[in-house]
Amino acid sequence: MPGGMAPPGMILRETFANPAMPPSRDDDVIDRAAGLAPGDALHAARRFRAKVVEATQASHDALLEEPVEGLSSADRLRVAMHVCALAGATTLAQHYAERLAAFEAAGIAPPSPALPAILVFAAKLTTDPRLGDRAAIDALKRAGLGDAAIVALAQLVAFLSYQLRVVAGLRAMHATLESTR
Amino acid sequence: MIRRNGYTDETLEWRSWLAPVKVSDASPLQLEVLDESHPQSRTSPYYLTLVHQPLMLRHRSAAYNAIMYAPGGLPRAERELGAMVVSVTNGCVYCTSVHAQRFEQLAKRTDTVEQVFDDPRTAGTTERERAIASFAVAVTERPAALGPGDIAPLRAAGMSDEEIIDLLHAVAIFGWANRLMQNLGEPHGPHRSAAA
Repeated sequence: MPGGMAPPGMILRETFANPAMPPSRDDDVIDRAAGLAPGDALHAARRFRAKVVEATQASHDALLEEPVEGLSSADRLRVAMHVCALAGATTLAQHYAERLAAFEAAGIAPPSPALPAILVFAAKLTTDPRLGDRAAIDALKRAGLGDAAIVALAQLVAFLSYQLRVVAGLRAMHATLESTR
Repeated sequence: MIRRNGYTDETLEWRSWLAPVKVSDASPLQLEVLDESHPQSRTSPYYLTLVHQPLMLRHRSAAYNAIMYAPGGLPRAERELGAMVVSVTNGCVYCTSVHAQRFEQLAKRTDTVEQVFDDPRTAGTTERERAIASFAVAVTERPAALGPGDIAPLRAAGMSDEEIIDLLHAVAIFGWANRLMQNLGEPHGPHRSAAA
């Protein structure tokens, strides 16, 4: 992540991370959720597209950590957990649940009154993108979200659809490599 | 020009259901990210909507551009085939039109496009194209149930791990792109207004 983005990210990282273990390139959400470790053939094959690996992790971080008026990081984690569970992405759901638990333990994460409307939108967008319409956007506006918050929410949910598919595909590939060994 | 089953390879427009950022009001960061994202983004309602969150757009564009345009690995026409199959499977008329055109430019033919518009499940003029199309549908419709049986046809078609990952990325990122196009606005253009 570029240095210019450090301040908001840092605040969150301090909440979660062990200060003795600074985030490293190998600490990648997709690798962990797909069960890939440095040294695995597939871990190396992913690095053929190092820019994609980096931009994917940077998207994850920005989508959860960039300050957004009316959409807290904790509510974004609630959305992520809900979406991944709904899509059957168990290991990712667990990742988001753990991050949310750290917030909740710190007592800084009351759900917004808009959360029910946010979760309805997220579920529809995840299960069938064809269900999107202007009425769904208007419902978010009535719940108090502005245009910038709606863009952040749509980006997050759409990103999760990408992320959980990359993880699922890598797990399937990993299983074939394991079985031929 | 191809029009079949509600899809087209004609150029469509897209209008936002939100208020796109006005270029005259954009911050220096927003302008920088617009210019990184796409050559025509300053006049695109889609990018001007997404740039409400410039850093989220910056990383999305970095991922998208590396997935669809980086040299080496899976031939670009095959990445476009994956993108087009996902877009039809998700019912995204706008994305389908763009990536049908890209496929035609790269592959210099339209036969596969007609097949995808008719039925992405059976599309493909070669075994390798059929393997790509089936994989794209499977990743889109049942990610949680993917297994070795979904990978084997790609390997049988001669694809390396790096090429399969390229395809997986192209297919997965259209799960992302379609959802934005279908949920933040709608297409319009010659085909849509003629059909309406």
